[in-house]
Amino acid sequence: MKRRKEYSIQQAITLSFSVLTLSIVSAALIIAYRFTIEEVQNVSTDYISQLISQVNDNVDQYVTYIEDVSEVVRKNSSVRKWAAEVDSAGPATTMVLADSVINQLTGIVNVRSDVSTIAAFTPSGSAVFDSREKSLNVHARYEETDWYTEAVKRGGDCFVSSSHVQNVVADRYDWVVSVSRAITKGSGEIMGVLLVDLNYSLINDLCAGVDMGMQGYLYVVDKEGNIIYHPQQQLVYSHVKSEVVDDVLGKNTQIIKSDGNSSKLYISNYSEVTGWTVLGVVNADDLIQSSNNIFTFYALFVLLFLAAGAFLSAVICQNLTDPLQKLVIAMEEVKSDNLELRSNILGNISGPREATQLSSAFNEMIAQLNQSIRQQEKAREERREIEFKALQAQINPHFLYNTLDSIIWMAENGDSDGVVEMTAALARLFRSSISEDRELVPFSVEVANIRSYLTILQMRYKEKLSYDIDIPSGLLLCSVPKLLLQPLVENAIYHGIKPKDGPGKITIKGFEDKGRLIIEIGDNGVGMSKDQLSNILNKKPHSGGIGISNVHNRIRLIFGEEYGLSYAGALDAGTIVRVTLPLAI
Amino acid sequence: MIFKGLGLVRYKVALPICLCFLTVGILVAVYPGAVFSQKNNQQERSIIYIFKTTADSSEFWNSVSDGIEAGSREFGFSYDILGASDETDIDGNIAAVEQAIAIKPDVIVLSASNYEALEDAARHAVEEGIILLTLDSGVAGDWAHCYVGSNNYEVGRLLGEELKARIGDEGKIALIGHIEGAQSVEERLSGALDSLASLDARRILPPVFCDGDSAKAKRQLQGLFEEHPDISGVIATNEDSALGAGDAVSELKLKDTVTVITCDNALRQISYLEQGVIDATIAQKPFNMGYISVQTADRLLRGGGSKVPEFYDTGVEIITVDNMFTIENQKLIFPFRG
Repeated sequence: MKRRKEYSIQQAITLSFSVLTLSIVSAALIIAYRFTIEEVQNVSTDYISQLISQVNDNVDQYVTYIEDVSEVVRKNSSVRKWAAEVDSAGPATTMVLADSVINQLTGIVNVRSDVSTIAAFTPSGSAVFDSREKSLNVHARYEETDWYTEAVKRGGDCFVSSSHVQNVVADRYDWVVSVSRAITKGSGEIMGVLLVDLNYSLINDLCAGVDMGMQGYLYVVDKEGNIIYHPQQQLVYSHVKSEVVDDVLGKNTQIIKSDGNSSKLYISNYSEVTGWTVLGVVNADDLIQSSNNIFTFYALFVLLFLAAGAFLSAVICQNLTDPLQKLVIAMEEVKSDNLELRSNILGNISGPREATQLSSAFNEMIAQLNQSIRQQEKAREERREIEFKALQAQINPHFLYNTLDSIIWMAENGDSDGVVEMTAALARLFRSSISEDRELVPFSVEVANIRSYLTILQMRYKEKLSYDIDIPSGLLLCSVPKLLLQPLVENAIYHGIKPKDGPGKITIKGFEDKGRLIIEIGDNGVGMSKDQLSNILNKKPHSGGIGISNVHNRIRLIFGEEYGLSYAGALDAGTIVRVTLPLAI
Repeated sequence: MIFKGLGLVRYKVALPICLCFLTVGILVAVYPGAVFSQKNNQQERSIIYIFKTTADSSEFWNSVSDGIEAGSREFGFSYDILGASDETDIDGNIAAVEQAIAIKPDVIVLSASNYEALEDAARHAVEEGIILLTLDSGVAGDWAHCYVGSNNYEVGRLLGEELKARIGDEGKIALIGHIEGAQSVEERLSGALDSLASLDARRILPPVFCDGDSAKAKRQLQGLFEEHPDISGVIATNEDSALGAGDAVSELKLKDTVTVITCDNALRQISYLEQGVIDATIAQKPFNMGYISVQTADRLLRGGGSKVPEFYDTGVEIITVDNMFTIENQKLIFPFRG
């Protein structure tokens, strides 16, 4: 049970990656969203403002055009003549005057579908219309109407009325916008009023066809706030619907009005030319709706990318931690003393460079470990082998039966002292070697053994062999390998002294030199050639003997390469073998 | 964490999945419209209107149609107008209702030619689960959810008041109704008579009914003038009777001696008003009736039954030659057809 929750690289990377992605993308989302919303709203309102402005311009142009038409008509000579003379004319003349006016006016009205009526009136009650079918409604008191009085007031300038019902034509009650103008004499005296009534066909065309998008619409009001045009004009007139007027009258402005259920944006544009205000209305909720849509869109986007990112990060993590996990497993195996280590335990690791580097380094380490273990094994094997051989040599058959021969010969000759001495020495020799299974023995033991050995040999060889052992007693406590001296002495006797004519001497000297124990075994035998000297440490032992090389190798195995044997000498000049050992107690 | 479970994920699996996510994301980016549902298109609901007459000539009913058209467009209805061609054809009126029931619209709006006779049909409609409204003329029994129209009794009362204000102490009073038995007519006459109750009862002639025919109304009134040359006041309960009365008075050149008070505002009535043949008219708001009936149907279908009044009074205005051209009254009595 873990006290503190441990986490894996995978968890850490995935978590931080996800958090980072989420925060970045969310921040981007919010910024983009706000920016987009503002842009959308601005673009929408700008668009509508432009539309409104355009419509207003068109309306201005239209009205101006009509005013020009009216100007042309009122300057028309037939019209002026009629206005000047009709009041005082008799019926026949009236007819003639009227006819000439009608001829002029009919043409205009026929050509234009937006003109409802063109007529002229005198203050005394005479009226002429654009067609003979139209006649004056005697009950209509036109001299009291706005379009008449205002035209008179303006003395020649145009008056544009609001939307109203025209009752001046008998039996007709049309909704029109009236453009009226006084017909004046050169002096400015007013002869009459010219009336041009516009029906809604062109106004409709100008206003109704405008696509405001988003359930928007536009409407037009005059200076007093009366509606000139509205797409639901009858509904407004019936008071079933009401329309915002006061706050936007006569200005260029934008306001938002809410009525509980929804809020609307009103954009107004005022025309100096007509005095009318054009208003565009957009459902502000639609702006919000589209902003909701935008938000949903962005959010969806974010989620999708987040999911993709998290997924990707998981995969990448996997890729990173896979080799690491394998490494961990391998190391666990090493830890568990699994001696059966396979080299290249990690196999083919794919992944980032660091992981592959790590795994090759690990592999190398394992290989080296394996090698070193193997080396140690090998060394131990060698040592056992050598030990075994040494043990074998100790019980050298030749030496044994030669010695026994000598004992028998001495016994046959009645030399019982000699028998006793030689047998005792032999017994001492063997007892020591058999009982000893340690690698190292005290130098005193070796010295004692070699004395036994040399005693036996000297008894056999008599005058031919003499020996001298010179070892300070202080060195006798040192540890030396067992079976150190015997092979060397044996070699010195059999290959050095025995072939020599005449007596030989073996000297064994021991001393300390620079922290080392040096033992020199010298003989004055036949010596060795240079070749023999250099090869002697490598020579395989002849049958039965363990050889110099064995001793040399053992020393080096136990103590290291810097110790061992070294031979010196020359042909016919004797041989000295130097044993170098560490000074160890 | 869940990602441990993804330990089984290999490149070959994960990469395509990631690509899928990204592809969907990019598609959403490029085709946002695909993601968002359109503004919910309501299934169009249907209303069937039973008019007293489907004849084109009635300006009143034409205005009602205009109102219905405007309302239907706004509230998303499809509508149909059924009915007999003659206001007097009660059986035709009933048959039209049955025909409508068979079509199973969402709403039926009934203008009953006869108050009593249409009760069965009205009950039948409601039993079939159709919402029933009445317009201009009501039906016996309490079957309709709502009545949209003028307060006909009040109309009658105003007719009487206007006459009283103008008429002297002398002379008889003739009353012309349009359809005997129609609720609108009965109530108006009732209102008028109540209002005239303060006058000498002998002055008041029994009402005649023109059956929706203005020519007949004219003949009837001419006959009455012959019989009672001292008629000094005429009340006409609707457009047809008014035109007939106006024609009669105009032809007989009696406009200065006879006060004529009418209901409705056909163009010729207006013209007579200007001329002084008709002295005052009570203008109803047929456009509003049409529009409001659709609006009410919409409210009822949305389940706002509690907010819908039983009687929606569309209101009337008293129009005289003096006030007929005010901006407000212009808007009322001259239907705007831009």
